[in-house]
Amino acid sequence: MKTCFKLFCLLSILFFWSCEDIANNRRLIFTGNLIDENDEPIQNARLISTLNADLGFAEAENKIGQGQTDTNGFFEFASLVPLSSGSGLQILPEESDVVVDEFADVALSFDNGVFDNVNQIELNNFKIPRKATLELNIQKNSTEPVFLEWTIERKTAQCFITITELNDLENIEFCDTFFSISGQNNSDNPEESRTIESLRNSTAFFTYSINNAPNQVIEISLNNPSNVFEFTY
Amino acid sequence: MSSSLLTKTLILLFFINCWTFYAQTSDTLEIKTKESKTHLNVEFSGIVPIAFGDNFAADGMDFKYGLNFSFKGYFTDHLFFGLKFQHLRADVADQTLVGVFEHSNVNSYLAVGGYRFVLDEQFNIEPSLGIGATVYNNKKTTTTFDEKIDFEDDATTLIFSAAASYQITEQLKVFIKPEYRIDFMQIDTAPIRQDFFDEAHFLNILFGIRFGY
Repeated sequence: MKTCFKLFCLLSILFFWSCEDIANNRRLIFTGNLIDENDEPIQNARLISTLNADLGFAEAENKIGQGQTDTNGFFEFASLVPLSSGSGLQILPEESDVVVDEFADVALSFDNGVFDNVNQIELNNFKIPRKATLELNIQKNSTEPVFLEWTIERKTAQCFITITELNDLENIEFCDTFFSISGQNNSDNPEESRTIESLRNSTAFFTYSINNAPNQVIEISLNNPSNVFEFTY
Repeated sequence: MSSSLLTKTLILLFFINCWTFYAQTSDTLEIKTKESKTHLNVEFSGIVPIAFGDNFAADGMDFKYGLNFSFKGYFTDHLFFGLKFQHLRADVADQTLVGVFEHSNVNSYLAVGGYRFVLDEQFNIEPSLGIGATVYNNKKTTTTFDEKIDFEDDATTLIFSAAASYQITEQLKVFIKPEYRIDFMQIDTAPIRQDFFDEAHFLNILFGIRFGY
C-alpha cells in the first residue's frame, strides 16, 4: 500500500512538473521599431509572441504576449516566458485597424535557451518589406509541337527565421531567401497562368528552355504591388 | 512619486498616526477599558480591493473582490497575535503590460499582530501589522492543444490596517477595516520595466463579522 502511495505521489509530481509551460516570476519585454522597405515607420502593426515556435502565418492561438506599434513604428510589450518549448514572435502589420494583405508575413522563432539569461528582446529598425504579386501567363502561339521547361525564382513573402542567439538579431538577413516554382508545358498542356507572391522592389528570374535548348533567363522587376509577366512561345 | 518612496512615506504616516492616537487616548482609555471577555477571535470578511500607483496591479489588472479569514489570540487585554489568510481575485485588464493570461487568484498567508484600543463597551479600534507570503496564481484557460498557461508570481506582503468594531452581542461583532497592503514582488524582468513589476500597492476595505470566545 505504501509503495502504491509513493508511486502515486511520484507520478503526480512528474505530471504537474511536466505540464509547466510558463516560467514563474518572469516577464520578457519586447521593444523596438518596425520600418518598411523605404525606411518609413510601420504604424499599427500587431506583434504577437506565442508559446510555440511552430508558427503558422494565420492568427496565432497560443498567445503569451501582444503589442502594437505607435505612429512612429515603436512598440513595447510584456510577454510571458516559455519553459518547455521555443517561443515565437509573429508580426502582423496592419493599417487603420484592418488587416491589409500588403506586408510580408513575418515570424521569428526563438530556440530553447535564448531566454535563459535574457529579459529583453530588442528589434531595432526591423525592416518588413511589402508584398508584390506577379501574374504569370504562358501562352503558345506556335503551331509546331514544342516542349517548354521553365522555372521562376523569387524572394518569398513568408519570412521565417530561427534565432539561436540574440546576436543573430543584429545581423539578420531577413526575407532574403529565394524560392523557385517550376513547370513544363507541351501540346497537352500548352498554357499556364498563376499568381505568385514576392516582395516589392525585388527581382524575379524566369528561366526557360524550349525543346531542351540551353537555358535563357529573363529578369522581371517587381516595382508595383501587382505585376504581370506574359511569355509566348 | 516613485513606488518605493510612496511606500516609505505611507509606512511612516501609519506609525505617526498610531503614536498620535495612542498619546491622545491613553489616559481616558485606562478609565474606559474593561476586562475583555474574549481571548480568541475568528474573523470573516469580504474585501473591496483598490490597487493604486504606477505598477502592474493598478495599470494591468482589474481587482474585483476578495475574502479574508483570520484567527487571533489576545495575550493581554490589548495585545494580539494571529494568522490571516487573504484571497483576492483579479482579471487581466491590459495584456500588453502584464502578458497574455486571463485571471489571477492571489492568496496570502500572513502572521499578524496588533493592539486593541477599547473605546467603550461596544466600540474597539485595532491597528495591526501583518507580514507573510503571497502567491499570484495566473491562468489562461482558453488555450488550444495541450499547452497550459498556469504560472505563479511570488511576493512578500506587508499589511497595515486599523479595524473599527461594534459589539452586537457578547460574542459577535461587526467591523470595518481599511488596509494598506504592499506586495514586494519577485518578478525578474528587463531593467526598463523592473520598477513596474517590483511592487503592488492596495488600499483594501474589509467588511466583516468577528466571533469571540
